Amino acid sequence: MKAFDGKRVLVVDDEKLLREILRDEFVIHGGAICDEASDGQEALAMAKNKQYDIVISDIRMPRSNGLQLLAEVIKLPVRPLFFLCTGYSDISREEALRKGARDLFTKPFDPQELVSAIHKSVFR
Amino acid sequence: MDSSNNAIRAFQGMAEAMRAPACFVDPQGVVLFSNSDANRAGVFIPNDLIFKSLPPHSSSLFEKLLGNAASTNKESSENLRWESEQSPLDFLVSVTPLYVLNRQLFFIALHPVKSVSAIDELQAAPAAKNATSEPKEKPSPVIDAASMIINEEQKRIQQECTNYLSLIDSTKEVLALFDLTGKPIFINLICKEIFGWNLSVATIAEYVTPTTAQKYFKEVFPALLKNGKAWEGEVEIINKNTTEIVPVLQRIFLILDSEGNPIYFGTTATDRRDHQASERALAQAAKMSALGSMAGGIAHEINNPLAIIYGKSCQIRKLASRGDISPSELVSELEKVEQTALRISRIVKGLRSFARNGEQDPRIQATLNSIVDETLTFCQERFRNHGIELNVAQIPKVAINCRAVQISQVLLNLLNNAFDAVEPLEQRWVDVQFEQEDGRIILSVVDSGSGVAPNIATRMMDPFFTTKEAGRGSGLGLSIAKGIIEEHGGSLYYSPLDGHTRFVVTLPTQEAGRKAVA
Repeated sequence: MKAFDGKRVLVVDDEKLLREILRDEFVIHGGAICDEASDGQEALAMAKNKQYDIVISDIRMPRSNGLQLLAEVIKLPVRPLFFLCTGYSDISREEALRKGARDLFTKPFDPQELVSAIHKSVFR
Repeated sequence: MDSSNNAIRAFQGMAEAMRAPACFVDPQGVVLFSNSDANRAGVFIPNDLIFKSLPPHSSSLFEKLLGNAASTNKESSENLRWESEQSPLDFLVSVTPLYVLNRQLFFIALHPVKSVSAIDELQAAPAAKNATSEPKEKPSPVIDAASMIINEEQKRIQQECTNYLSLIDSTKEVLALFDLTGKPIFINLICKEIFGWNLSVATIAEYVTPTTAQKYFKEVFPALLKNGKAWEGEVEIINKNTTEIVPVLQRIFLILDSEGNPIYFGTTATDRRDHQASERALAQAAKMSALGSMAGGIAHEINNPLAIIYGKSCQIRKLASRGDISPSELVSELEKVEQTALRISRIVKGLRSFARNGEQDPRIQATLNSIVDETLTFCQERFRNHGIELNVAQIPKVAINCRAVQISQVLLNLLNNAFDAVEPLEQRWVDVQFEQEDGRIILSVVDSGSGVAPNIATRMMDPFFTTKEAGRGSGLGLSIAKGIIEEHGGSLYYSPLDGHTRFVVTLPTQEAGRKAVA
């Protein structure tokens, strides 16, 4: 039994290798089912199409950014838990929570620690 | 009665400021107040009639002057001759009507008009005749006082001249006077010591370049004499000490006599070399400010690969410590780390070369490709992060003989301007296009904005002109960019395209591949 067994996770980042790091962590070590999107627009289309338990998204991305994605995702009938991850001080943690995010993480991060923090938050 | 006291004090102060015997009298000619020069000279005795201390024939003169001043309400003046044994002593008597606290008064001053030397002679020889009929051996108190006053006046004028000259000589500006034929008649210390000029030359033409001399005699002087309007422009003067040609910002104006006829040309000129140095400093500051506005984007650009390197390293370490990773997997993962580290290195290298002042760089053959790529390293992240589409057309394979950092600075400036222009818009895109014509490359930065208003378009290339909010633009970007491109033998201009904003840069090109530095 792994931490995220069977959970559906959507990783959103325009950096391919960062998506790869998170996917490896969620899938190999967490047992999750993981999809990837490279920007907010693509992610929203996927989230509308498929019910995700967890979305972890970068903020600054081309086309539609992470905050715009968050605003749309929380309107969905079944809301996934939304985590923001940024390499930039775009927004404070309090503000992120107010906007409907479950938590805000900053880059760079230890992938294992990040995923276990998400786990704690999901199964608290 | 503070106000009347103040008024009286003010008038007394005025009378004291006169460097000649002076007094206030009432309409009957009775002296109300006399200044200290008058007291020293023993004239204008208070409560006495004005002419009592002066030669008898002066009474009719005062009567006339007071009458004139009262009826015309204007200053009235006339010469008063004081006969002495050797030569007469002349004064100019002026009578000015005025009202103090609703009372009619007259201000009277006695200005000696003879030359100082004549007065000295007079002073040496005892006055033959005087109003007070004192013994001949003793000089008249008036003459005595007048000569004393004149000596003081002369000293004062000399002192003032010394003051003005030291001011004129301490300035770093060229100050000179020349007559209407162009012959210098006065030059200040900087002209003499720094530029090695003197007054012996026939015309100022010897101290300027031939082009400048031609400009003076063909354009500036005739125009000045015709319309009297001061001329200002950049010309070149010659430092005779070093034979160096010095660029100056010069102003030439007319000096008129009391009748309004031109007598001299006056000129000031400022060495532009300091100015050119400060322009260079400003250009560098503008570049750093452009860099500053991108700092956020650059931080993100570095932080993302850093997150990859850190994340991958954590994962690799944990897998390796458990023996869960094969050598081939390890190599593949480490290659990713390596590539990502190189990404950061490229950004840092680009930043370093951009921040450096490229102005002193030698010109090199740089490919257009390398210049555009290097520039994009700084800004494409910023465009991407703000959801602005940045489309760069295929870059022609040409080389430009240039200071690559400077061309990169121009392109970055145009891209930053486009970014600022489209950021608040609904439609947000910026296109970079290229066109090749024989011997030159035409680079256009087109944005989704709807062009520049005509009143702004005419001024936007001017230094310090900016439409950006305070603190965002230095207003130097476009003017500096234009200067850089023109220095490279190209041009930078605004030319809207299909209703969109477009800035065009043209530059002469070299055949690509020939010793091109990538």
